[in-house]
Amino acid sequence: MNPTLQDDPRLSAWLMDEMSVDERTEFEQIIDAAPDGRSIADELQSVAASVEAALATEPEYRLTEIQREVLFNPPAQKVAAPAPVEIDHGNEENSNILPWKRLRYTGDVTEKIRMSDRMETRRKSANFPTYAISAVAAIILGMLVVGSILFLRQDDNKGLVKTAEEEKEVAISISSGAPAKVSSSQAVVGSSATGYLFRDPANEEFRRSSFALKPGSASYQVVSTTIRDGVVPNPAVVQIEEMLNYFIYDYPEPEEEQSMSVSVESAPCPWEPEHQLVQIGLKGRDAGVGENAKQSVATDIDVQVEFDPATVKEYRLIGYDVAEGSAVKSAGENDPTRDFAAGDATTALYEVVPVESAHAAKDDDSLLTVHLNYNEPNDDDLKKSSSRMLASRLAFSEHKRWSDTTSDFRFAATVAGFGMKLRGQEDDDTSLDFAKLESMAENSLDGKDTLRRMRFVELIEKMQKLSEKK
Amino acid sequence: MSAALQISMEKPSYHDDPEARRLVREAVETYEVDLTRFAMSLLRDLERARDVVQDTFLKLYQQNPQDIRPKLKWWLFMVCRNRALDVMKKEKRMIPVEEADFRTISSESPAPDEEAEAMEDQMRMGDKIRRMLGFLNELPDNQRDVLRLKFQSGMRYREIAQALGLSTGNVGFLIHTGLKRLHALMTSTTEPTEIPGSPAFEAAGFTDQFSTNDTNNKS
Repeated sequence: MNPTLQDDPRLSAWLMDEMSVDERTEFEQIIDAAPDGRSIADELQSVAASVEAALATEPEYRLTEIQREVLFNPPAQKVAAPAPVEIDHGNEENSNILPWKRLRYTGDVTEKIRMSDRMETRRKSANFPTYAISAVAAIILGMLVVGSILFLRQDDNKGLVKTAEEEKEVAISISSGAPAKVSSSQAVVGSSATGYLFRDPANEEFRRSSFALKPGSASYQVVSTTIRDGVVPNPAVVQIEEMLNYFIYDYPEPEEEQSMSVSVESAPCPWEPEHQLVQIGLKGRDAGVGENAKQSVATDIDVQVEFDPATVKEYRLIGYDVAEGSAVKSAGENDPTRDFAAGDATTALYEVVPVESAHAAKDDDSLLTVHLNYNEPNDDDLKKSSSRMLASRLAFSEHKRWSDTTSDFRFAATVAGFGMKLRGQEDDDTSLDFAKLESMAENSLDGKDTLRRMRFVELIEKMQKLSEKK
Repeated sequence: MSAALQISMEKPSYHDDPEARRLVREAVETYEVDLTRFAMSLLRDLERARDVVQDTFLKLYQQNPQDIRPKLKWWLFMVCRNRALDVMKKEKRMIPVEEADFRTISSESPAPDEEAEAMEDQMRMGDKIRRMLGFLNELPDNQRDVLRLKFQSGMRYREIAQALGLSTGNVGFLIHTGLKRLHALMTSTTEPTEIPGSPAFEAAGFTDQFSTNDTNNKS
């Protein structure tokens, strides 16, 4: 039995010109033969037109500019893995000028900021540069030179005291996995055998630390695209703070009266259980729908993390590896960004070494306090903005057990650990191998950002395979 | 890990081929919006949709530009959909186990700017259009997908069939059934006196549009 005209899929095919001439001729006879044939066809035609009209009103979603940049400048092998300098692991002299490692101690924050401004400009230019990635490489090379010069100067002029302990050899590994030895001779270097730059809050200069409000996330895009291409990223392109801030964390909305919120969470450091890992999150009030949607939430933001020397032996800000160790006090101080738009958020991680006699500390002794100052813009009169202060104190005893931490915390710790591995800051001997990182990531997928986190798990997996190939 | 989620390391790469770069650029300019809309209809989340679309274009670099050009359109939609489905599958499988145990920060973070804007746009839309989009999202997945590819991206039956792995006859049937269903839904509800938030409004599926949970209502 033939279907009625309404139920005949050929009616749609006819309307959409999906028929051969013969089929068309035949079907038009059927339409004309059917009662109300033409009006049934017209009705369906008008439904089709409404569907088309409705779908055309959907927003014109587009990729982000960074995503487009990555697409148009894919980091292929030759471009993406620019070795800043040739490193001859067999040559003792050469390994002593291991450039990116040295840079960690000597690079200048202002240099980094200036460079990233330039990158930002490139990103925004209408015609995306074909070789942005090589530009990054060139910039990094430039910073290496500046860094080395600064290093030499600092050594010569400041007369830093070298102690036997600080002279100790620090083994690190580069992306190739081949360990190289560098002699660390920095007065501010702490006790960690991994060569990180730790700071002692007993030194008045390092009592307070700061971090960038908008570190960006370009490094993550470069790193992930490179790994997906089957190439181990060059350590110099791995900026842990940018990797951390690529992801979205579920920070609480600000209190009624405030435009910003501060979150602090702490637990034992997964790669060094004697240390504490502290996650600090700042969040601007989310955009409301309506006229205030685009309003800048807060201006003149100043964030300072104050460490208590009674409980903290030393600490380090994770990431900012170009900047860290420079004569400049903190990364945040030279960050030109002082404003938060609606919904903005930023994340920083600190690794804190408690004092050895910590058991003597009282439970409510503080470990650190986050001081946040900002101006609340006045909608009616921009000159009448009011100044706000927030302080969030983390007590010495407040750290959680790992199993009690939030998924966000575990995830941030995993990203940091992964970044450290990629930078060669973690030896293969440490507990942080890729398999461990993968399971950590898999246990922290829950939250606002599951898809990206899942892709991060894939990335770790891929990186693990790459490292096994070596 | 499903094979489709992986970009195989052994795949050839045309990153350095100027023809491939030109192709990707053209593909992005031409299909970025419709692909992201398509991914949005599957995932209901802009960030995820963008990630999936970016991946889709990246995979283009693994194709020989000469070979892929004639089938570019349906190939992009096919890869995009497969990627989105993988993501949904994986997400369904992995999230619920963890969620109950670890959700400690309870505050619901509102939609990012763009989603809020999109929502506003939706509110401003003509009521008929709004109802139509609501109904469209209520259709079985395969009907919804073919209608979208047909009426948003202007694909031929044969291209849709390739993209979705169906026969051309299937596509014709799904399009016709989908249109009939929409016709019935549009004429069965009274013309617009509903206001947002009213039961009728919700029954028409408009709230569903913004839901991020209901991504996998497989028919």
